[in-house]
Amino acid sequence: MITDGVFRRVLLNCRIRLGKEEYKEMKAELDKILEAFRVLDKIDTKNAKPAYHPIPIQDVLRGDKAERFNNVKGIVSLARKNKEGYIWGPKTM
Amino acid sequence: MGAKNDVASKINEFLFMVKNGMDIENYYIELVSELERVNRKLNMFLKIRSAKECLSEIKKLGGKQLSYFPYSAKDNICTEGIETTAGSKILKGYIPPFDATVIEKMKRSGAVLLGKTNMDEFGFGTFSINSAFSIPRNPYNTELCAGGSSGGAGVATAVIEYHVAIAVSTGGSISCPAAFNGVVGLTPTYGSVSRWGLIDYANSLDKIGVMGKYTKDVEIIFNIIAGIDKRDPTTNKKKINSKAKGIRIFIPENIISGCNKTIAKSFWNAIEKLTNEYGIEYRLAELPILQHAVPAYYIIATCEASTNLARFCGMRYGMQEGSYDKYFDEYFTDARSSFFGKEAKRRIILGTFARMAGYRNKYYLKALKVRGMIIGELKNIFKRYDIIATPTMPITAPPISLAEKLSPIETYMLDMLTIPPNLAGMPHISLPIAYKDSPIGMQFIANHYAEELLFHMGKLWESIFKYKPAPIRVGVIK
Repeated sequence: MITDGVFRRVLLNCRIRLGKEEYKEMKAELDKILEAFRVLDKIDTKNAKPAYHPIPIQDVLRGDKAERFNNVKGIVSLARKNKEGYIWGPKTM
Repeated sequence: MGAKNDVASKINEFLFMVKNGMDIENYYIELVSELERVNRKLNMFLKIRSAKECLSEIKKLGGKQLSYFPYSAKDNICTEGIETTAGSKILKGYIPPFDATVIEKMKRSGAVLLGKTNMDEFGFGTFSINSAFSIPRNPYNTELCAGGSSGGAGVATAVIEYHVAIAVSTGGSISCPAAFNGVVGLTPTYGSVSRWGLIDYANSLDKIGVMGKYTKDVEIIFNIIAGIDKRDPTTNKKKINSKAKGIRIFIPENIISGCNKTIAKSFWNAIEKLTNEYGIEYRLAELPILQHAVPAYYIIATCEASTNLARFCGMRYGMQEGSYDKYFDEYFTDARSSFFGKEAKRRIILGTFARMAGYRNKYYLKALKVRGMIIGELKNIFKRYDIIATPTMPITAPPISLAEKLSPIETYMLDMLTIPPNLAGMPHISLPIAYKDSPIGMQFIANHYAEELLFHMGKLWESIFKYKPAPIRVGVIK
């Protein structure tokens, strides 16, 4: 069973706040889900390799050269507060 | 082994009419008006473009390959100038300034985008009951689920006479609604179709695919949208040619036994029909590793989703409410808590937990290893067999009221048939095989890059089984 301390830390990392009832419900459901997932404990994976992708992926890196993005205006205009190519956000300090 | 009759295709039917002087403008005016009326009942579209918008696109289109054929795109695929929410409140109002690669390709081929289809928020669901806006309804019985997460795409494909849907699958989101709505659904090999411009759920699992009325229709569209895209380095264009003779089918007994009686009976009837008509051989055997697929999938998918969704903070695009006088952490927490739905929060929480120091090896790394083992076992099966066959879903489409009462884990377990090929990135196709309260589907799975074989199997099946049209239809030409 997941402890309250761990669950609160998870919520903090997720940047999600839950109401009292929602907290109780979500935590109980997470316990049930993890209980069902314990079936994985029964499988021996000692010699298995993790598959980060379903097929082998060859990393393709972008060339090291600056490219101009031609729709900066389109991107910036999506923010509700913007001016001259910059956007405003909540304060950080 | 060839199909017994001419190959059916709604695209080819439409192109024939266009060639013979069909009045396209009038067709679109009537289609959009009918669609708006029916959509009020079925909630298949989150956005329907006006006839004027469709007609103005028609004027710009040069491509002849699909000459004005109507299509829809799931709402997590970016479309320039058209709101794209991925079924989530947190993206309400987001208007992408660019088209996804698949949309560019459809435009170039001359297809016309009718609108954006309804879906579970970010693809999180089996029944499309987790859309932030409305619940798509099954056209065979509006009390029943449309399937998920591409529920709107499934309904639109069943209902609109000439149409294909561009949809997305992570763990079964094309096959499930294809089965529940009685249409053909193709989920291609991972990396066959560019994901550039897709709002990700889980990067190592997401695949863009197609739904259509017939196999030929999904084949035509797959050949248009597949291929290498330099903007998505996971794309490739390998192809394994279809074999026409001596097809051998493997049926995993242990997961069939988890299906309800109606499903199992329909599935075995279909297999019997195939063996009788074409002499296809099958072998029934246990594949115990598959019982680990659901937990492995949900751990990997939620781990990836929890990082993907970290970008949604209610500031740069989509829903932006609240005062910027707050500190950023408080503002972001407020936005995420208010605008993510319940299932999105649950998956973010589960994925964040499974990636945390102290739990990562037990859950995430273990799940990745199990995925490796599942891929290995399936690859072994494909050394001796050409196709793996199962029903698509273990149940028929449930009533919406019942689906809403299921616990999360009960819902997750219903993905047991669609998860294995999705986890392994293997192509699969769902085909209608029977009609009870709702249509029932059968799923063929092939080895990586063997889509051709799936198209061959689909055409074989369609030459001996006649699909029934949905009771609600629009865009029919009398």
